[in-house]
Amino acid sequence: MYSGIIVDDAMIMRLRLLEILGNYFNIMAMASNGQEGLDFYAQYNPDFIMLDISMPEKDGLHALHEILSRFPKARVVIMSAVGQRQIVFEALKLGARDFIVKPFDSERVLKSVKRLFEVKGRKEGKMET
Amino acid sequence: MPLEFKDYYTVLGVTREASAADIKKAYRALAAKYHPDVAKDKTTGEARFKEINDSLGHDYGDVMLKEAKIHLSRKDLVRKDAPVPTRLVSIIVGITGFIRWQIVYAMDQSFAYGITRAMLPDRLPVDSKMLVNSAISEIANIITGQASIHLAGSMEKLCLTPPVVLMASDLTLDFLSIPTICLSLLSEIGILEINIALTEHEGR
Repeated sequence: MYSGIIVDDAMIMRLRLLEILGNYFNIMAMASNGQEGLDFYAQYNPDFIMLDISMPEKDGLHALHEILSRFPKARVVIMSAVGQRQIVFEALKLGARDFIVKPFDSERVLKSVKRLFEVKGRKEGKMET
Repeated sequence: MPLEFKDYYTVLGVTREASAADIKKAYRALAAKYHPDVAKDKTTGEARFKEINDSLGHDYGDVMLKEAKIHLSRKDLVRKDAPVPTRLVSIIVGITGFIRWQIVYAMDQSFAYGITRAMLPDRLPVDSKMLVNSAISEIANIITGQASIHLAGSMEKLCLTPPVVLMASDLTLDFLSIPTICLSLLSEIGILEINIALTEHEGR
């Protein structure tokens, strides 16, 4: 089972994401700001990370930049209510694999994360769903 | 009466390809022409000004329905001198960039609880004030974020200030005197009040 980390400053969104992803992935940690997310990433070395943008301490775009600078193969999915075109481009240019605009539904989130592990139309062997 | 969703672009008289600069220009021109303080025909002016601001409100119904399964219908729309909330729980969110908004969402505690219950996975209890604050902050953030997407267009970037939750007893801050549109929306769990104070960036 692939492992992941959830980073969102809103407790309710962390709980919702855990509910959506918890049955399919091993959620190793949940963080409430970008710095904590970065620290957890370095500590747990997960297969993917879900990253909100508007957060205190260190926002998601800064955290995205730092994570990919240190771990170039990191699979990062950005989630944000602020899905303006300029911000989406910025996130994708920095190396985010996907950008989910809030409000989102469970299927959209699940599909986005599952897609991270599909190679040329096939799922990688580690998936256990 | 269901909330009527109007199209920003139609109300502002611009095409869907309009840049943020065009939208800003159109808003400024319409606001200058129809603002109730300056319009020659006060009745038409006020109605048009309300329509412009009301059009910005179509995201509210959309987000509340999707996130919290709450149907909103419009109760009333009034003009105020400042975005001072009249309900117990308030969430303040700002938009900064080529326009500046201060939006103050206000609701009763039962409404805040209802939103939290609806957003939370079924098996989890609503057992803390922190959880309720988290839910109503996130709703305010998402609604404001959606509005910022529409207002920014393709060329500009608008930033949101983090939501701040306040109880009526905490409201010792002075609200700046900014012309405000106050939209009251009715649902099965109570009233959501949205105070929208809009000022353009002075440097642009």
